[in-house]
Amino acid sequence: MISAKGLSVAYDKKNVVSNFTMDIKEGEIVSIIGPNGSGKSTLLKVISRLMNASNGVTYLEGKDVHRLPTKEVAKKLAILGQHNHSPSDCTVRDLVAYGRVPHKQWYEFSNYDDNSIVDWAISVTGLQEFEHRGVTTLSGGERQRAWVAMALAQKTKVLILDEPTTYLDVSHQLEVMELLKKINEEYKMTIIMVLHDLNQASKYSDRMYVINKGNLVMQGCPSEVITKKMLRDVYKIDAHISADQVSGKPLFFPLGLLKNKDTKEMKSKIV
Amino acid sequence: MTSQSAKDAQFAVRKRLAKRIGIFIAEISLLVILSVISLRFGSVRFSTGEIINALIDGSDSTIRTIVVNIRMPRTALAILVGASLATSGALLQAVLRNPLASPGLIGVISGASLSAITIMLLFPALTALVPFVAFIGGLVATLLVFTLAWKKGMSTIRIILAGVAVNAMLGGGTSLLSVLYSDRIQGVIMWLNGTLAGKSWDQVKLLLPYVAVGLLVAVLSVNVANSLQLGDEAAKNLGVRLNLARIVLCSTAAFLTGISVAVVGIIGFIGLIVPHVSRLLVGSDYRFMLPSSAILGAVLLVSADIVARTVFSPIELPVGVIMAVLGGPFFLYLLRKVRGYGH
Repeated sequence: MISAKGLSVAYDKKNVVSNFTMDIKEGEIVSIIGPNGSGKSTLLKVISRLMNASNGVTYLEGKDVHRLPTKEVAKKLAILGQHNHSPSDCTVRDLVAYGRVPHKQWYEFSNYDDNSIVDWAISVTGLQEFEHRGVTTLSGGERQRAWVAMALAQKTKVLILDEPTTYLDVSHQLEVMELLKKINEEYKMTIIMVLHDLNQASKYSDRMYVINKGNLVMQGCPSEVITKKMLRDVYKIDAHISADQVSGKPLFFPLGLLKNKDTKEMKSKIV
Repeated sequence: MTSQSAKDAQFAVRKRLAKRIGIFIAEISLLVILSVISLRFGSVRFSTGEIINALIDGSDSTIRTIVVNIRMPRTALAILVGASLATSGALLQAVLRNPLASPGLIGVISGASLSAITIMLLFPALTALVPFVAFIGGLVATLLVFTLAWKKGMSTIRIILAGVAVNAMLGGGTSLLSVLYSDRIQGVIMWLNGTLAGKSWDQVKLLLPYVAVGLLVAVLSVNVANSLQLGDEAAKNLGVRLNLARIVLCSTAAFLTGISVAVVGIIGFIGLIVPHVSRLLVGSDYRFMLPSSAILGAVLLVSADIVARTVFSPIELPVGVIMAVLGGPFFLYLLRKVRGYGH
């Protein structure tokens, strides 16, 4: 569905992402994890053509995403950023209707089909009762769902999200994650996201990519990725790992930061 | 959804649409009424009946001459210029996503001023060329701002900062010339404050095709303007070609302002305030906000011009001054009155 080959991104000649390669199949939920500043968001922006890579190619259904007309990409791939703004008088329905923009010519008005797709996106995200409320008056979780609804109205096969649960309390975080899971299961949408909460990433992802200082460290299913070693190497923490009783997926509990000595030893080992 | 809340929702949608249509009807009626008043008032007052009679059977050639050759072109010019400046401001506020964005910000006004003043002070014999030179000067200054703001694409904050810097430099040049040639400054003051006095059908004919093209491009870009309001990345996600959209919308804005300033001089304020007033009235959806801005811009300039030529008649005041003195308080009133604006 989406694959990246040898992606590198540089700001002022300093590599933020180096030689990153990935391959995502249709219908997968994939998370990209890594410490702050590791290049995760940059990577998402590049594969969704918001940013240019200095090297390498991203393929969307086999075609170079940066060479496709941007409007064509918008019909196949939706990306939801971390910070979103809407005009103060924009209602949920107005916002969701924006999702139809890529499907319209400049002279076209929204028709019956557009309206029913907007209805569908609103009901999937459970926002019927807020349909005519201003987006800015909603709580964080509801607002995030409204933006997801806009992305759904784009009717794409791929949905890319940059930290969709940051700034939300835990119940709203789960609400958003469950919504994404439902979208994935019922509508076969491929979902790629950057997450900070490793346990959530583990619980909801089919596969995970770990990135550190711009380099791909490892990739695989959650039980391969969430290991004591990875947490030590990448996050510099000591952690206890157990298995989720329901899903059997790994869960971690942080025990503490590695002491400087450990880190140094570790570095010397790596070197 | 229960059927009751479905009905409520339907009602909310209809109510908003009805309100918007109502406001449009009110704005257009206001423009028509003000245009009639603008034809009636001046150094001599006519009744509406007299004007209609003079226009239909041509019985009173004095009235006919005054109305047709002086007041009509003047009113038409006020409508075109007001609509252009307001549309220009609305486009820039969409592109730059900044409430302080106005046609003055992208250099077009300071560029036009400096070039017009250079001609009027240094080469008074060429004064007839002022509109042309001012237009070119405005576009060159805008181009300069864009060039300075371009660095692998154009970010809104760089456009704003480059605009501020270019405005400061060109403004310095204007001040320098005004000081050096302070003996000749008298004739320039009217132009610097904008005036519709002494304009004829020639200027209307000059302006009309350009304004028509500019407004057409503006109307065709309402969907893009709407998408831009969601932010750069969201707009790009929706398939908007960001740099292209910025260039087209900013150039259209610069073009509309440049051509207006060239003909009537500097009229500030409309481009900044009218889009806000329009947003307060019909909301931020550009499909409604942009046409409403154009109509309100025309309304504001026609009324300011009526005041400018009647309060101290026979002395005419620069219309830009009236706009600032009356428009400022009116805008502040709206800002205080409308709930939830300016968050």
